[in-house]
Amino acid sequence: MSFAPSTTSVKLVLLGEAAVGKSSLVLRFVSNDFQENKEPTIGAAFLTQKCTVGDRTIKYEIWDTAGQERFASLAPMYYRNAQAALVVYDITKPASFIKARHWVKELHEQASKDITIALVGNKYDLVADDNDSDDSLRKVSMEEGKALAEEEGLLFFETSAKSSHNVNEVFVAIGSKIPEAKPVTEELGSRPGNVGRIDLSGPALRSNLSDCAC
Amino acid sequence: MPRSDLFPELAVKSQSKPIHALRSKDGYSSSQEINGLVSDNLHNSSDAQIAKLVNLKFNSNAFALIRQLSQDLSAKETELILLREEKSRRENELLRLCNEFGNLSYVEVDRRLNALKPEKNVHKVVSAMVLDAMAISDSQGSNERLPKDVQRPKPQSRNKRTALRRTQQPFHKEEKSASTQNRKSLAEATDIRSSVGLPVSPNLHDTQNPKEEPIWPRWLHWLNQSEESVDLPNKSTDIQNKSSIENSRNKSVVELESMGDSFSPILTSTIFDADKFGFVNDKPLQNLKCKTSSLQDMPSPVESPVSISKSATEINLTLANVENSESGKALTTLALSQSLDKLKLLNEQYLATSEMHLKQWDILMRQAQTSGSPKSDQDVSLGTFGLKAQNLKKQGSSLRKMFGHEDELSDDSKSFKFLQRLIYESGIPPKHRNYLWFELSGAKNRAIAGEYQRLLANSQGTSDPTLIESIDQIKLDLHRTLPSNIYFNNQKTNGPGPQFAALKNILMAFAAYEPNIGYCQGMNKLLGNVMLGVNESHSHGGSKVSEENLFWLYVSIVEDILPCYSELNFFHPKAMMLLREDSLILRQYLNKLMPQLGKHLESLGVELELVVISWWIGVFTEAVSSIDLWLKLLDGLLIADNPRIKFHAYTLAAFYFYQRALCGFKERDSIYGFINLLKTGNGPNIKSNEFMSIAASFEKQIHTIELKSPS
Repeated sequence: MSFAPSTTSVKLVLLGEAAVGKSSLVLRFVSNDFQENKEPTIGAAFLTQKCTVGDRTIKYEIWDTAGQERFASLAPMYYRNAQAALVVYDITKPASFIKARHWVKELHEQASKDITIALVGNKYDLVADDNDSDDSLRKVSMEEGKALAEEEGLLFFETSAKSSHNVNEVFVAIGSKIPEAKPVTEELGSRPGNVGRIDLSGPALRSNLSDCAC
Repeated sequence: MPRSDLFPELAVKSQSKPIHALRSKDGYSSSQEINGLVSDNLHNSSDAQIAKLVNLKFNSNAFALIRQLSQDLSAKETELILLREEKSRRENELLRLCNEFGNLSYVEVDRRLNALKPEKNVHKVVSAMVLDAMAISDSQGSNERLPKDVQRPKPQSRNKRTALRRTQQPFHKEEKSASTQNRKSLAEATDIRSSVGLPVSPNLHDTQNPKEEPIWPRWLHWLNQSEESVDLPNKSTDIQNKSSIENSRNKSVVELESMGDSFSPILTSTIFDADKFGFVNDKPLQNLKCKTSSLQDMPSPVESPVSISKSATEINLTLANVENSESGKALTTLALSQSLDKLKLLNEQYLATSEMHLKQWDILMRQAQTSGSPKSDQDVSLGTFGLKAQNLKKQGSSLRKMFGHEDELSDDSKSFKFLQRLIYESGIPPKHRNYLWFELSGAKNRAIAGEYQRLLANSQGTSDPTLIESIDQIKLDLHRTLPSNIYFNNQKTNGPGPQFAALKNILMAFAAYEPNIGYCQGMNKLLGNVMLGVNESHSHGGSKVSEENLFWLYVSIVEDILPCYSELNFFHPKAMMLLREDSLILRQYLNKLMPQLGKHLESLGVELELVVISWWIGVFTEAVSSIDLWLKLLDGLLIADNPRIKFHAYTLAAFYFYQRALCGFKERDSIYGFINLLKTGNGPNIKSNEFMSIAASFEKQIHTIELKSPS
């Protein structure tokens, strides 16, 4: 019957090379589901999910962007005013890690100054059983990921959208790094182009049914 | 109060289902089909008739009849039990949702539901439902979940007309109120549904207060009245046109005509539970089906007119039965029979219109294919219609004699206008689609024999880095192109479907053909949809299209049909920014043409470009939920003078049909969420003829809008 005392809306954008599993991470986080053949995202997709972090409820407004290189010029439209970003790469594809590096650089140069970025190496399920053998599918070591994250001041996770390994953890970690904002209800009537917070004073009917399990 | 009384509306709805749906199921219906004569209203028959029945169908064995009746009865009982069970489960779930997400206590929910005062008079309820159903097929059809009289203020003159009708037919008024009541309870349910992300009306609870209605632009009223008209501004001067508008006013959804057709020659639904385009019915599609059940369950008019009259009789019988069991009065009331008459009329009008369209198409095609007399060598190479039907504009004279429209088709562009009108009103019928697509896209002129094989070979062993990049991206996307469609993805083996290879070859050959454009995500879905359209056409007697010709069709669509931006091809990497700039212009159009929606979106801070860009890159595959409608959009593009403006017009039309839903959202993310739902096939159903004519009228108005230079 009652609601969490404060709900913070957080605009989050996913960036990364094509087919690294951006949409699959979102699908896992939002619907706790996985699809083997997820259609490529055209332009961008939008989803929301709530997540409880400590005593706060965070509502993620997720912009999941298309990964193909030629869409890169559209990315600023989506990361503008974003408070959080997931830069995703595929731990079996070195090129995707290079691309991730580029995205981090671009975000630091172009996005909001206080943006919280998480570096995410996806498809952990493909290497979960490997013991660092030579024929391992892993092409980007965890150390490389960690090093980049430390260097750039990012959160770092290796995840699997397929097995759901670490997926919720990413969003919880981002949530706990997002500075405590004023309850959104005080910011009525946001104007176009305003920071990505919106009127939550309406009836509490949402497009998503359940809070995430975290 | 007992839970089962909580949702009278739902109860009535589900009980009414057997009229269409449950007939075709289980033992009850099959036994009935075998014997054929044990109808629902046997108790109305005379003794002699019953005796005759026993004699003829049961070999004079009355016990067999009794057994049959008892069997039927128990089957119905079982259905009822199942329905009740389902109903109570749904109720409980809804209560839970209200409580959990709507912040409503059980007491509050009960109070509201009790206030609904269910109609106890069965024939009133049935009449109201029939009228409701007709109102749905009569309305824009954009979102049947929302009561339209709440959402959209009716144009003044329309109200007057309705009022007139009411005085002529006193029963009408009574029904109207019953139907409103029905809708209101439906609205209550909608309220609850909104927690699942479905749209809700903004002023659902303000039905009694007309002052609260939003102010709508005058022209919108006018549009609402004449949505079927193509040449809106001229229609009053054109009597012929007017009557055709009158005809089309009540016609049903164009998509109906192909409903229920078994389609695939190879992959029939006996192997998979797939629809006519080969989509396996996964969850989202089931949702869609559920929403449109009233339409889906209607028999296909094209298939057999007999089945319609049969089903009308069936409804008649059922209604009579309902009435009798309730009040014991004699047969149907005036109201019921008039509702039925209206239904039948609706059917007849639909049949007549679609038949008329088909005839006109047939004549046009025959005329064009046989006596199309090209005037020069160039015309011969371009084909009868030519790219974007340019040839029709030139040789209108040869088509002028059609239907004796001598005076109407007085100048050369009239036959082009005729084609245009046909396409807007009915779309290209499947059986002519392949032929016309091949001509109108210009593919016929583009095709060079042997070139496709050469390109395919080139793409295979290439060392060109840009081409390799394209091919790598194609390979990443192939297995995720229309993954729920059996033509591309065999669900059983989880391997490639029969047309997977063609999809791959064509995309790769195109990358080799235009290395600068290469491959862009979204092309895969575009080509996939085109292939499904070609499949459907072939199964309706359209010409077979080889992989090679399919390639040229695809090339022509991408190069000549889709818009160009500063002479850059639509999918060119550098066109992306120009596309983005163009999407900013759309906001200006929207604010001018749909100020109400524009203001609403602006007040919520919705960034329209974010949405529009995705729609455009996907060539509207993500903007409309039905592939039937999408095929008509492509038909329209094939004759568009200015594809860039056409894109704007389609986008505006889509917003026009979604605006009722969109205006109901109070939060920005609900708006984005709704738009995101469209690509999963969960969007509202839109009648394609209405979409096309709305788009056409927007297209005209766009030209009158002066643009401010984007700051």
